[in-house]
Amino acid sequence: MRAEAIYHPSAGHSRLYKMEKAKQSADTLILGLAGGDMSILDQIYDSYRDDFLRWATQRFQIKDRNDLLDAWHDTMIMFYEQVRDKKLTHLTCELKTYLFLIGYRRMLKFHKKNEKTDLVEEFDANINMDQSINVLEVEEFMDQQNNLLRLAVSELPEKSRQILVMRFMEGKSIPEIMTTLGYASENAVSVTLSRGLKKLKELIIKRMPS
Amino acid sequence: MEETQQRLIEKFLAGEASPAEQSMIQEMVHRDPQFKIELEQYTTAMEALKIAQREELRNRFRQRDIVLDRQDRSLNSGKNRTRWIIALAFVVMAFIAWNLRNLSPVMTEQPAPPPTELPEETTPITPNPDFATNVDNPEPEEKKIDPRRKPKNNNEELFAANFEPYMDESMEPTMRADEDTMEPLDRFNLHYAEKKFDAALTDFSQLSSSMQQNDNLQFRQAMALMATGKTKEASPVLDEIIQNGKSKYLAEAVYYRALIYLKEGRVSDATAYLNDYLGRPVIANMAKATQLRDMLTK
Repeated sequence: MRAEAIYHPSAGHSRLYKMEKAKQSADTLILGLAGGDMSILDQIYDSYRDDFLRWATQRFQIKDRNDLLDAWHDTMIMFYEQVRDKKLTHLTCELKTYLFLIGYRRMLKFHKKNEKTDLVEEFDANINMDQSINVLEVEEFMDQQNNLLRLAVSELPEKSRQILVMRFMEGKSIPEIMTTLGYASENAVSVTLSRGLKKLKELIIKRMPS
Repeated sequence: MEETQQRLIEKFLAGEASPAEQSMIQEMVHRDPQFKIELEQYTTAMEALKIAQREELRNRFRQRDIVLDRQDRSLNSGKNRTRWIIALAFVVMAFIAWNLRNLSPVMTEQPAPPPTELPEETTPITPNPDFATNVDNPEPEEKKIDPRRKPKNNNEELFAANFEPYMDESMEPTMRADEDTMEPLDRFNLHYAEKKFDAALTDFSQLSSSMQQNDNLQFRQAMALMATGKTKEASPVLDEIIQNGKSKYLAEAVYYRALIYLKEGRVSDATAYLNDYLGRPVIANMAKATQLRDMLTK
């Protein structure tokens, strides 16, 4: 997936240069985040949180700060999942622009705004975003089924859960997991992984027989 | 499920299945209903992990919010403190500048008052006989006095000329006895009446706190302070009496406050207070206040 940005021809060289530098920086961040460096996520979160809150307050006239924070949390989660699932590998717009677009869609969806803002006008660029950023997923967060799934995961032993997350969520290989968690052999990792996955499946079936 | 199938599913879920392996999986899904169910259950397990990870991320971000909000609060309090300090500095500088302006000679504020000194007589100038000058009626040359030229301590002179510690019949001591056996209040009244103002101030400090808060007694304290040259200490006492508005010496407090302003060179404030004083019905220093006010406003 590539997010494209069309710049105004009148943009000066200095602005374009800055944006290019920003993109390189954003790509570096994405690369690091995809490799499992969660401190990068914290860095991005801290850098843009207050700007987002200010913008969203003004744009959507929302007074409840908790609503705004929830929106920002969802925005960052969606961004992270795009990176984790290898659906976002490169940005051609600024990272902030991308994040704010995610947040904008999220705000529109959940606060039922009637007026539609021209995204070009709003973000000064045409940004083609992968439609897999499905804002509807956010609605499922509070779903009963999701609660049961979350509870099933919470019943897993911590070690099993950690291996499963590293293997299937973070995309780490067996040798990498062995090194990170200090297992004696790759076979030990594979066995623990298989057992953990089976256990999780059984826990889910127990809670959700259907 | 066979172990090979298990491994294949795990590779598929991790996104590492080759195209051939993916085709194999698709074929098994179509061929084996049980395999299909197993695969769906494992896919649901993946969804469960994603949901759990989202919740972990949410908790992670909540922790970040606590840290960021704490940083914002400390930053803002620091900024606010800086702003307050800067604002206070401006206020202090403005106050100093205003005071300096008011301490400058009176001639900068109002027309020159009439001269208080007679022009000095000079010895007549004897014309030089070598020069053809009009020597018939040599006029003694009077030294012209510049009405705008005033002694530097004129305000203090005016203060001294108009200040006299207030005294009335009610301030006469009701008891005269050995001072050592007298109550502090009686001693205070006695010393005040005898114009022993230093001793009166000492007596005042020995009064009970409730007595010291009494506006009428505070008025006498202010008089004693002014009489002993402590006008700076007297001014807040008089201000409080005026602000409280309860003392029977309220009007006189206004007059004496005007005198302190005059001594400090704050002529406009002194004039304002004198006007206030002269507008009150019963006052003891009408003549002095009127003369002083007229002098200041000419």
